[in-house]
Order: sequence, then C-alpha cells, then structure tokens
Amino acid sequence: MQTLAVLEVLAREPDTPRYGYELGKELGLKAGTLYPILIRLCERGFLEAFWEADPPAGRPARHLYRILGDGVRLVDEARRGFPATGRRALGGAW
Amino acid sequence: MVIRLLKIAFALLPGHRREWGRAMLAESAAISDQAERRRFARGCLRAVVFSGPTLTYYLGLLAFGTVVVVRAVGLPIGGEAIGLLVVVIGLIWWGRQRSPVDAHSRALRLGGYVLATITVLELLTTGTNDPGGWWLAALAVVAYLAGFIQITTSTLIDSRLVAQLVPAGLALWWIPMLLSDTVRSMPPLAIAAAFAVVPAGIAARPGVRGVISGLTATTAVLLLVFLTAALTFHAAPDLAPNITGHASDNQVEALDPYVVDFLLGALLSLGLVGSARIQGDV
Repeated sequence: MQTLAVLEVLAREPDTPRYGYELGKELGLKAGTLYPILIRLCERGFLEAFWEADPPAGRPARHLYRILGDGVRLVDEARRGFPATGRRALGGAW
Repeated sequence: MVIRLLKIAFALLPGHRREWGRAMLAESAAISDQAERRRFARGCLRAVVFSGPTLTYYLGLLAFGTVVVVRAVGLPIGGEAIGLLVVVIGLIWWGRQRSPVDAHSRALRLGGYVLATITVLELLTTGTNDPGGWWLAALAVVAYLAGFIQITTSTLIDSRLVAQLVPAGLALWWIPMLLSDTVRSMPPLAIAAAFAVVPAGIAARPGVRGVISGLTATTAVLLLVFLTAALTFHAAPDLAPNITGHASDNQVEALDPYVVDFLLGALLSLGLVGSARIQGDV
C-alpha cells in the first residue's frame, strides 16, 4: 500500500516531476522504504526517472520521478477495485 | 561517516542500479541540516544493503569463499584452488558492472553461477584425483564463468529459449544413459545430444540469434553432462561401466571420458565471449 501511496502522490500532478527526499517527507516514508519502491516502480514501467536538467549552483542535480501512463492506470484501477483499503492505507501513509 | 559508508555500499551495487546510488548521494548532498542528512543517508544505506538480492549475493560469495579456502587447505592443489577463488571473485565483480539485459538473462546468469559453484566444489572433491591437470579444469571454470557473464549482457541470445533448450539437451542424453548400457558405454553420444540443441534453437528462432542461443545451450549442456555424470556415478556406482574390476575405481574412470565434454564446453564458452564482444563492438 505504500507503493500505491507513492503513485497516488505522483498521480495528483502527473506532469510535475518530484524528488525522493520531498516524496519521503510528504508520505512519511524513510529513504530505506521509499527508494526500493521507486526502483521497483521504475523497473516495472510505472514511473520514469531522470536527472534534473538545470540545478542551481552549489547543489548537485537531483534524480526526479514522474508517473507514466501505466502508473496512472494502476492508481485508477486500485481506486476502483479497493477504494476502502486504498483510502485507509493512504491515510496511514500521510 | 554514514555518507562514506553509503559511498562504499554503492560501489557494491550491480551496474544497472548504480544510477540509484548516485541519485541517493545527490539527494543527501542537497540536505543542509546535518542530522537530517545523516538520517536520510542511513535510510539509503538500509535500502542498498537490505533491499534486493545485494546482501544475499555477498553472503553467498562469502560462504563460497570460506568453503573453498577451508577445503583447499592441505590439498596438493591448495594454491591453485585459492588462485581460482581469487579469479572467480574478480569475474563476479566484473559481472556486477555488466548487468544482464533482462530478467531471463539475469536468471540464466544466476544458473551459470550455480553451475560454476557446483563445478568448483566437484573439482575440490573428486577432481583432486588428478592434481597435475587441476589447473586446466580451473581454467575451464573461468572460461565458463566469463561466457555466462558476457553472453547474458548480449542481445544476441534469447535467454528464454536457452532455458528451454538446456533441460531438453540434458534429458536427451541422460534419460537414455540411465536406461541403456549401450549409451553408458558410448560417452561421445553426450556431445551429440549437446549439439542437437543448436538446430532446435535455429528452428525456434531462425538467424544468428537462434545459432548463438543454441550454442549457449550446448555450452551449458556440456557442463551439465559432466556434472550429471559425476553425480550419477556417485549416487549409483553400479551404473559405471566395469573398466577396472573395482566399483570405486570404475566410478572415477567412468567420469574420464566426460572431461572431454567439460573442456569442449569451456572452449565453446570462450567462443561465446568473443561473439558477444564482437556484437558489443558493432
């Protein structure tokens, strides 16, 4: 369900890429939990990961994540199939 | 300190996960609060060490190394065995930098690692009967391992097809061998069975990919023939052809003809390394 929570956050603004630390803060997930989820979602084609093109001076480029069409569909299906479970899990995650 | 540990842990990640290591480091560097940065880095360290097969992989390697060292101490080929262990670990490290092309290739490579491990253990037990030729067997293991690693980084093979051809090729020889004295007394039939998977590979996938997939399967079958023959004669000594008049000696002598399969497979494996490199250059 934490996986679904990550997708839910990214699906809210599908065109806005997010970075790991920010996602972890928003979802209350530690890096040790968040990164395996991001890796899995990217490898299964639900997210795309890319490097920030123009980072500000003095800070290294961040790795950014954006939800893909399959990810959006997965979120929609999860909402339709398990609305109660999904809400409960997401509530806990936030 | 945590960041330093994190950098070390990232060096242990396989090639296809390196970018994630860089992502976590970049994220850590962007956090200005030192305590928060350390907390985040600890989480990343946990993700690297405990998620995925990384820890299992290195623990497996450690267990393998320990077994080889303990077994090699006191053996006449102890030095060669330690040398082989160093080269095997080097090759596995090299393989970590070259990720398999897909999930099927990853499974195929894992199968190759398992076969190489069993072969080394076999060489450290019954293989010590011939200390003079041990180095040649060790070189063959290195050739197999290099082949398994290199070919699984190549799109020249259909790994799923290879996984189907290997058990078919082995069964083509092993089942008749169990059932028939004639087959048992004619070890070259195993080579014929191993090469029979090449036309099967071409039939399933016409073209170069079918040929290379078939030859990859042949390589694995030749190694499996050697290991299966050793296991069969060990488990059922009565099946070994009566060459010497003594059951225990027959067991050893009956395996000798299959050393040809083992070495032929190693040569083929080197050919596969070459073909994958040529493809890489193209």
